[in-house]
Amino acid sequence: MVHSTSLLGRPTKRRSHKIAAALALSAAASLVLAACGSSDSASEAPAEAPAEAPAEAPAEAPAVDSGALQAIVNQALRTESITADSLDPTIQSALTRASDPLSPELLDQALECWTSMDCEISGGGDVTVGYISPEVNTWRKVSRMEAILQALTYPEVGRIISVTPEFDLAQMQAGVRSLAADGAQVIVGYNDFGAALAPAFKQAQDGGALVSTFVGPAPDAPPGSITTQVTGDVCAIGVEMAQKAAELVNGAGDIVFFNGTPGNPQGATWNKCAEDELAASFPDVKVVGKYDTGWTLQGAFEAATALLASGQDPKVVLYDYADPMPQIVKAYEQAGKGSPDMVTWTSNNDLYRVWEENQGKDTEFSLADTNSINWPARVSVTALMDQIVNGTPAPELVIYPLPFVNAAVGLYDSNYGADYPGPTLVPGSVMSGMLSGS
Amino acid sequence: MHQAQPERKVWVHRPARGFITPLTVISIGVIVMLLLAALQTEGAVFSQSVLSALTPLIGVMILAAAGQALVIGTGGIDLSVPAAITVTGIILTTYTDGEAGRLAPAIVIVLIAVVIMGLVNGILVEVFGLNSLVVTLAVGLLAIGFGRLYRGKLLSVVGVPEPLVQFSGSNVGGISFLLIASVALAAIATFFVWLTVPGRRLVASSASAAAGFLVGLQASLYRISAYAVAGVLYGIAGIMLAGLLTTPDLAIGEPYLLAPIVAVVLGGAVLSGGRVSFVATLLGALFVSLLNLNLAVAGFTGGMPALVQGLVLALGLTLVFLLRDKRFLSRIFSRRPGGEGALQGSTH
Repeated sequence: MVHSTSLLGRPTKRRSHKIAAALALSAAASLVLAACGSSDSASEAPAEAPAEAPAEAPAEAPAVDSGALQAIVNQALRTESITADSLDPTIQSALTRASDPLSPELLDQALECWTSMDCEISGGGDVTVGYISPEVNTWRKVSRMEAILQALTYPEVGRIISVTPEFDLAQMQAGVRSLAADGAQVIVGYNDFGAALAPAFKQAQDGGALVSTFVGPAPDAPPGSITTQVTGDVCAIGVEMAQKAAELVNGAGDIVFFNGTPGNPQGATWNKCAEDELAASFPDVKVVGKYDTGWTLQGAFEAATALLASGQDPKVVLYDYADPMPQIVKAYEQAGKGSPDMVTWTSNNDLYRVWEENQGKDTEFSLADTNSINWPARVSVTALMDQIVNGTPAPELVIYPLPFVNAAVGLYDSNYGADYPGPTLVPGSVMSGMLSGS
Repeated sequence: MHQAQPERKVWVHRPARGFITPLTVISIGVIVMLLLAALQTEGAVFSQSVLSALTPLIGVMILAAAGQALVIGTGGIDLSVPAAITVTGIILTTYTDGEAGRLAPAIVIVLIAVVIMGLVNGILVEVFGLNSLVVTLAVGLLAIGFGRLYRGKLLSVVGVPEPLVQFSGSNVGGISFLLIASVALAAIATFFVWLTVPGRRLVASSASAAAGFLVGLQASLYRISAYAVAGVLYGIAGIMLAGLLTTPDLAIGEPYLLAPIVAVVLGGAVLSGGRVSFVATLLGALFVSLLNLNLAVAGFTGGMPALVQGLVLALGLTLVFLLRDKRFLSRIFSRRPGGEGALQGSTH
């Protein structure tokens, strides 16, 4: 298995063979250790890899400019309320790198990698970075660009491969295997399938790759399948949503929850934690309904219609996805009414548009959302690359905060489409290139 | 005199079975759903504000179900409906770039695209004898693939032109133009199928291609045209839905994979093909929409809505089978303890 992975690597990259072989050897050594009875060694196996890092001296990490770091933290989280030093060290490392502007040549290279799905970095090193996610929407496309831009901050990266399967477990499994077989030492991706994708990740890691997923958690993934998960604390986010909703209704009023796919664990978790928080701290804030949307625009419209028909008059709708929320406003518009206030994860350009359009009218509503959560893709890249390049052990779990921020006029950007995920760390020139299809 | 009794017994049963048809059953179902909705919402469901939000989506569902009914009438099932609707959204956003002046040509392109999809489906199924499930699924995937390539990486405008938004959102007394247009279309389709020569030939060819061929009909041509017309209906549904939601995304067609099939089946269609009632299909679509609304208003989340929908589909299929196959019903009756005598007894 180990050898076949190495042999399937691209022959044009002679040095990548050496690294792959080194990683494979270290992985094999880890497996031997695991077989000898060390219960923790499986999850620590990837940490052995940097011992066999490239012979060349790793590039120096950018010097930490605390001002620049705090500025990019504020940009990423869309708030100044969180200090950089309160964040996980891996997040600090990732955002420190992200704060260092890339050269115009590398920005061009980023666009090329984003467009071509397989690109060689001229003058780059031996590490191949693989990226995998179904690209079902613009959010996913922007996340891939964040990962590519972060990978390009490492001169050790010589090749970036992307795989964008359909939204299908079997295709995702095949995609992970193809990345591993194609020589990716670092595999970063959005995991829609939780623990079901773990065997494919485990296989890739057994073959010498390191895997990191971002945003979508897989708490029940077996040890050794995913080196680093970068995710939010779903329960804590639910508590924050409850607090924000209580703030919007001044401590008393009816609210409703909107969820995506019926019974999805993320929704179940934040729902429960929000309800617990309301019961404990805001007993006069009542959850009067829960509606499933299936994550679709039409589902949100239908759910809002059902809400209208129910005769309830909630003051706030809480949801964990911003993209379909304009449909709630649309349904209420159809009914000749103003939308309830909204508290939602992620951000969305069209939501900003409808929010701004309604400001100053009878139909004005409040909106509290988060950042777009594209940037955690960068943290995934850094968690693994820092291990390979600097020997910094990749943590199993990196938790990012997800503060809710009141919307402000000016967030809507008419240069971007309705499904643009809102402010990101992707430079404007690169985003323009993405829009023009270059 | 005594020997004639069994004949009279059979005659006695016929009117009852003739009255309980799929159309009457689905009509009762819709009335029950309406009553439930009225009870749950204390009548709010009939208010102008709720109707204006509720009825556009029902109109879209009716159009999609009417298209599916045409295909099911040929004995096939069309799984390319979500793709046709999604591709429609892609063309409307990408080609128009939000400009009203480009809306008309975009609609023409949409209709050409969906007719091509329908024709490819029809030809592969009817000429090459391939399975409709596989063919329509494959054609749908192809269409989505082409659509995504055409759409490109990212769009700077992801919205349909304003006139379409205005039209899709307009209503009369809360009843959406989409619903009114869909009802009118169902009426026209019913007239076409029952009272015109091409319509009757289409039904004859759909019910049995072999029989149609033997009586001199170009059965395959009619059956292929059913797929093409279905494509047009999906396209119109997609146009209306895109206008209603304003910013169609790549998942806009997803909810239309199974729901239209359920609507057609509840309308009494037989999956093996034959005449399909568009009025019953319309009621089936209405039933499905009202069922979803009632479940949502009742606060059912998690697996409960899927459970109820599955149950309704299973019951609907069983009921349609029983109502269609009167011989089966007769056999059920005749197998009762006492056999013939018992049946006689039951009639007295």
